Amino acid sequence: MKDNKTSSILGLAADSVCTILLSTAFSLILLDMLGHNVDYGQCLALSAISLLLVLLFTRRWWVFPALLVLAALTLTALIYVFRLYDEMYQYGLGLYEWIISGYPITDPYSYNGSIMLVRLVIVLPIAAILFLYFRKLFVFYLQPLAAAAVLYWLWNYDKDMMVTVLVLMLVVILASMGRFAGQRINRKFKKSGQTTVPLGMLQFHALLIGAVVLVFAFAVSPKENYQWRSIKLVRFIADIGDYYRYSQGGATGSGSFSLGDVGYEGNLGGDIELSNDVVLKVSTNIPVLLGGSTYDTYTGSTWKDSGNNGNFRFYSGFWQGKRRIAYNLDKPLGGTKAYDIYRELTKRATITITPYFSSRSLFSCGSVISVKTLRDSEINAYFNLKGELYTQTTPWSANSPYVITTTVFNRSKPGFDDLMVKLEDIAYKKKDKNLADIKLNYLQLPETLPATVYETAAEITAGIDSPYLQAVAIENWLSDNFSYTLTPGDVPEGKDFVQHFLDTGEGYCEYYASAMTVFARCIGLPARYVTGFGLKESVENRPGAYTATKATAHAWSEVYFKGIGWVVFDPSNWVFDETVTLDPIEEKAPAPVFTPPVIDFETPVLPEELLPDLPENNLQLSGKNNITLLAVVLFVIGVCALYLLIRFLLSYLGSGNYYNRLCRRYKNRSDRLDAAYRRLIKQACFLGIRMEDSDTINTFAAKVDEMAGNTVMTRVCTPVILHRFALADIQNNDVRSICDHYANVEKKLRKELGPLKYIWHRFIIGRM
Amino acid sequence: MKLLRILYFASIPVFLVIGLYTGLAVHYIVFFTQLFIILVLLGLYYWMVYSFRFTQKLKSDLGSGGGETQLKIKILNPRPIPIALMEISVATANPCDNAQLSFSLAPFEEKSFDIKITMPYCGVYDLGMTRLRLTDILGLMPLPFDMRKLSFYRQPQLMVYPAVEALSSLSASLLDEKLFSSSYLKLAEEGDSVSGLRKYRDGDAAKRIHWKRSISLGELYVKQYEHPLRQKVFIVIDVYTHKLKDEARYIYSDTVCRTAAALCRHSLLRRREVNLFAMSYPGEKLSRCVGDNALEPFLKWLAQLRFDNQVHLKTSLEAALSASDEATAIFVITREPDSGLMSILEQASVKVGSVSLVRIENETAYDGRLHTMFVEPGGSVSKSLEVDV
Repeated sequence: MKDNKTSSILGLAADSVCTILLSTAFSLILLDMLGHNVDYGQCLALSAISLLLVLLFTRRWWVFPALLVLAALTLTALIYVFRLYDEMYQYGLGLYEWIISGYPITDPYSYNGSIMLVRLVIVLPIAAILFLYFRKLFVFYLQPLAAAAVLYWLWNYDKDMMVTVLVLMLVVILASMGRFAGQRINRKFKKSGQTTVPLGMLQFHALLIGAVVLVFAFAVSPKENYQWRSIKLVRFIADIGDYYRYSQGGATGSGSFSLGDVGYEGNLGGDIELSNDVVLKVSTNIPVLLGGSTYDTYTGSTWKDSGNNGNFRFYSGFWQGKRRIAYNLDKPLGGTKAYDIYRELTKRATITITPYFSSRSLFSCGSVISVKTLRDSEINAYFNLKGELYTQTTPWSANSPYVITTTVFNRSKPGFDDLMVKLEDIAYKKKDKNLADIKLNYLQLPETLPATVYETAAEITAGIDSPYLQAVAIENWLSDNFSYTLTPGDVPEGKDFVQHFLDTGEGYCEYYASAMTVFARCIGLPARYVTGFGLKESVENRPGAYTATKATAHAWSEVYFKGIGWVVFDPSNWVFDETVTLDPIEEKAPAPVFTPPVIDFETPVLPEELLPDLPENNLQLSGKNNITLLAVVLFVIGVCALYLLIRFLLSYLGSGNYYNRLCRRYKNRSDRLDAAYRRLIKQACFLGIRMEDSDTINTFAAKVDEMAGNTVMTRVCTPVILHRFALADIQNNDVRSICDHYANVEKKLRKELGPLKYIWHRFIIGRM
Repeated sequence: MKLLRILYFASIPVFLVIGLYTGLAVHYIVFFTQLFIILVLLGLYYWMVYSFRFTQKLKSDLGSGGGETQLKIKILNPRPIPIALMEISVATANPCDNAQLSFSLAPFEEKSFDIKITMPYCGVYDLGMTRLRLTDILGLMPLPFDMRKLSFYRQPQLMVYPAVEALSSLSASLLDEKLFSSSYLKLAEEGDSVSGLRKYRDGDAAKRIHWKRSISLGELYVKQYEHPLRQKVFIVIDVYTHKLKDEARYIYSDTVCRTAAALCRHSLLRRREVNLFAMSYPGEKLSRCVGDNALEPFLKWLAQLRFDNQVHLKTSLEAALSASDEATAIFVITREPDSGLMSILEQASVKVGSVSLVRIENETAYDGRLHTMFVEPGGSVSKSLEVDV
């Protein structure tokens, strides 16, 4: 370097600036922890003063005492001239109090400025240690590690302070990188006995570059946390976590709804009294039973979950297979013929549900295809193998509508049973790969189940071969022979619930659904117990508008048929076309006034004021104005990556592809031959064989062959010579042989270099 | 530094992903800082490559094999930003041994280097800076650059003549035999046989005026002499490098040129007409050097000769044979003549004055009829050629 003195001055300046910046960062944290209310400017000033003192201490020994004497003389003169005796007395008193009281941070010390002295005393050792570090104990890797540790700590302590501290630390780290680079180069130089690089100069310039760059980086970065959060990435990583947990067998999830929430007993049975509080407002083209919870295990007194049903995000790419299983989306089996019948049996329903209570359960039915908001954005819903739909952590807000698109069996259709039997005939012949798992989960019965229950089920279905008709027979039998009441009395202790129902002959939905499910299982049909809400026509009496109240909370059964899927059976015969009865209390309820909109079933839209605030787990990437730069950067990176990938893949496609491209691009053979030959020359250039002005085709080919140790190039170039100089006709094979040679060389290169090196050398730097 | 670079570049996507995941602004600040640092360093790199000034001067652009010269390189950093490390590859006259300069430059600093250029082999060399490697002040991106890609860049050229060795005698050679045929005794400078007359031109010597004919024709006529007859010496050079590589190749080509130069000198001193034959690079065109009595054109021709890996001695030999007569002495300089070549030479030896084979390799047993001499690659030509086999 030109001037070592300049360099050492610049180095001192750079060290000083680094000390001030880092000292500011640490003082900010430390003073804040100690309860001082200081701003950045104060910390910066304190750090600068501290550094000045440190500099004075570390220069000539007499400088500091001399300055002290000078300051004392000046102060005395000022006191004398301006007669500041009282002020000085107060200041001295403050200092004295500070000394005798230990560590003061409270107001009495700030009235005369002595609090600043206290802070200076705190900052001074920080600055001194940092200055010592930069001048004598410099170890680069300590800085990023310390910065990472401090930032990690601030993450938990005070996120707002993170940005300031980070910016200060980054400038210092960048400056130190310059010095670190210089140290490494010096080590290299010293070995060869060369003059060394003055570190100060590098550090100083690195500091300047770092400061400028940080200003720009700060300017383009988001101004607030979470502005640029990518919810897609968050979900993707959550999916990976779910996948891991599922692979370890620990993933299970379900909604939060249970009949106990709306007035039912914890166990099955017992007298109940239900209110008519509105819980759901529903708009649907088909009235359906909306399921909230599904149970697979019957204990004799209650229904519960076996707990091994997974936890999958509805819109995750990972779980499409599970979604198909949970919602029968791969059914029916049996090809087009079966599908035609299936289409007749089912109906597409678009259901807009507005819950009046906050819950994690999202009510649904049938084969759910989509779960969206009214704005048609996907809801971050989860599902399990039982077909329950729910939110993962945050409950779905009250008054926030969501739209379920689903396919349901339309059992009210005339001739449904006949068509179902037909479908059954087709689907039963096919292999249902889910059946084994379903049988494992949904054929469970308690050992204590009385034999009479088995016998009754067998009697009901005797002589019926079709599983579907067997289920229908059970449903009809229950429907015809039992009476509905909300006050059936308590179930005796230890008595099986279904047996009790058979004995008493009366009960409400829980009784019917439990009996239906248990009977189906007794005859070997997989069945499950579902709770949720039935719907009643809304008081507004508009077509498609329904209401669910606590009184319409309901339980029913779903039976699985091989190759067809789950079909709803409700022996208690829910009636949809009754108008809901509302309690007077509902009028006084603080629940928000709900004015059901006019629903177009094709595109359900609610007025703007009814649109919900999205829950936290539905955050989308926002801050669109600020994100433009990031989008541009990512786009450029993406385009570059795509370009490299395409070139790489094209190089893999081989000669046939290259020949075809030539044929597409050039109409006559002569042009193709020229283009292919030019490509060969470029390839040779890449391999380090340049075509000189004095080279002929022949000599150039010979040079290439010499390097390759064969005569292929000469052979493939012969047609070029013949065409150019003897005006010989070109055959397609001539061009093709050049293309083949080109592709072979590329192939060899790829093999020798490996894909990464190949991309780097071939497409990025363009030489070996 | 390598660790730092790996950490630096690997952490860029990491910070972006963490930023997108957590949404915290601090990660974006770090990400953009890293990204902008790269952009700034790239900008500084290109600014440096296209702005740094340099001069390269050769003390002498001509030399002969075994000599030395000096290359002076001055480099100035005209920017206000230092260069942490600049590594320059400098091409020298020894293709197997390039010089390497490593230094740092402060803002506006100039550095100069004197590089000793040895000239072990004859040839034409492009000297000076070839490749740069600039390390930025943060030590993150040491980027290479080939100076030869700059459109304005020209490398100084050094021509190294082959070292000429004096041969006291060329044993058993036609060159040293006395010839008594009348045709060989004619004066070389002016000739002695009047072949005709031509009109007088300004500058013609008065003694050459043919007075008798001038008077009879009424204007001045001067006597025109026949061109003197001289014995021809054809030296056919094999530019095929016989798949030798690296330094062995240069040693071989240099020995060939030195041998040819020694034969040239020896022949010219004996007032012979010397013709050199070789295939010019890249081996398709016959190159022939017919000189006066001066040695330098031959040396220049030899220095410019390009050796390559193609067999084409036969072509140049055929050209030499077709131009030869019974008084021509042919020297063929090669390494390993194949049997085809040997039979051509043996047939030619009957027709022409003499055919000698000079083989550039260590002496081996040889039982052919041709007059053969061996020159050890890199060894003394004079010692080898003065020894008869």
